[in-house]
Amino acid sequence: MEPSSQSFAPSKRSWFERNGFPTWVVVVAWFLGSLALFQIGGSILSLAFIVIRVGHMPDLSDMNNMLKQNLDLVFLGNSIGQFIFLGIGSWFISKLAAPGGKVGSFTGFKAPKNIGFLLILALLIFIVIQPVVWFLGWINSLIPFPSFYMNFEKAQDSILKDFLSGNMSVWFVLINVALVPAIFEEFMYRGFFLNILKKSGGPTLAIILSGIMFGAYHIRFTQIIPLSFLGMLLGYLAWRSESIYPAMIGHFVNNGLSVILAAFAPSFVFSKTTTDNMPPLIWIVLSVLVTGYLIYLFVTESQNNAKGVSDV
Amino acid sequence: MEPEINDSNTSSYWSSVILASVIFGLISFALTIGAGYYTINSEPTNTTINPSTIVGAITCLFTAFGGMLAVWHYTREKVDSVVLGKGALIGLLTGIIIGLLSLFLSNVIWPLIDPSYTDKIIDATMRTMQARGMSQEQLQKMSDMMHSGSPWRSIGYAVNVVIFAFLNMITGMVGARMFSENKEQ
Repeated sequence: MEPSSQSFAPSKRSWFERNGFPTWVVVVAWFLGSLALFQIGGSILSLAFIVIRVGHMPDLSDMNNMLKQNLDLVFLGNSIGQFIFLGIGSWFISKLAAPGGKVGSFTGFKAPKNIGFLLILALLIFIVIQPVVWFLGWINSLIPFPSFYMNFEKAQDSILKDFLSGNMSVWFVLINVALVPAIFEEFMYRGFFLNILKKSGGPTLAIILSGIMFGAYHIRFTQIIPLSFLGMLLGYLAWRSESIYPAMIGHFVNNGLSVILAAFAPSFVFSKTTTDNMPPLIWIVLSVLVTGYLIYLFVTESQNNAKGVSDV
Repeated sequence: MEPEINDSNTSSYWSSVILASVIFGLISFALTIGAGYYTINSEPTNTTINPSTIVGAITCLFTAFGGMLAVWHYTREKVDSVVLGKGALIGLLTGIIIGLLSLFLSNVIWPLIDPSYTDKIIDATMRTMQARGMSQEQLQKMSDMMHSGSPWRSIGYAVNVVIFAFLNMITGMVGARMFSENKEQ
């Protein structure tokens, strides 16, 4: 049995529906609006923290050095930006999009009876699927991008690399790179976007679109294929389980693995995906098979749960 | 409980959207070009806020009312009232067209009328940056980037269109509330 694409009684219409908002207007407006607010707001917060630390306005013409010297504050600003704009902002928008204004049930904050097993399966899926993600990254690397864009990504990569391999506590990095995005990005993409799109366009369209939006949100077009794929997989797990928690765990594991590997095997993480270091074919085949089996188990478990769901 | 509003009227809003877009697109274009020539003919200054940036801000704010005009025209010509969501839709579409029209006129049509316009603007911008104390090396980098027609400029244009779309979406919603209420009274 598949989860319903229309889970709400027609009498309980959302504020957006009562006021005639087309779904695509809400989705486009909040996707671009939240992106802009997060990028601008997060940057302002980071800059404000840096000003407080150094005691004066830093030289903005030497931006790269300024960022590298204050990476902890940059990521702190980023995390607070996620909390404010993706978290609180999406909660407010979800309130307007949820039938009866019930954000919790609309965004999937509910736990099926055997949630523990589903979370373990989600955790395993996102460990086992890494060779496929790596392979998709390699395919993405075959797409040519203009040099001006590649320079922009190199600067981003360099900042991320410094943050992951710097001498900051692994816990601090783990919180900022894995935990915070796992909560707030999931709330926005699998909580809000997936469900509002599902109501108007059905689950398949919702999973595909919310996945592509998730890929585009990262503004890293050399990684858009694996990121969109991960977004779609997270969306699929959220839809099947009718809960956001497995997606949160999956997202945390995916990002957390990068942090852990950067701490203990940095050369592996930072090696560039080229035709030379595509993952071995056997890894990809095994990854596809084992992931497929784990997803099958996940779907079976979710179907078993479909009859009894308890709100948390 | 908030009363439910039925959006049963399906009259096309496109004539209102296009009318408001053309009016505000032309105004935005005129103000942009006017501010451009002001920048070209004025002495470079090291202040962040100058008449040119003020005109830019006024253009942005003024052009935001295209959505409201489109909704007003729609309620006047086609329907008695507009639901909030339709106001947002009309405003959003109006903003996108205003942004695209203004960009087309100032970046495609005007350079045909005054081919040296873009170079003059770049020179004036460089003089302003020099007055603000930018180093020779940074000036050279910036000049090369501007003359090579950097794709970042296209990204800047896209951001402009998004900003226009947002502001007009908001005024479209305000217009839907204002003009629908007026009809009820």
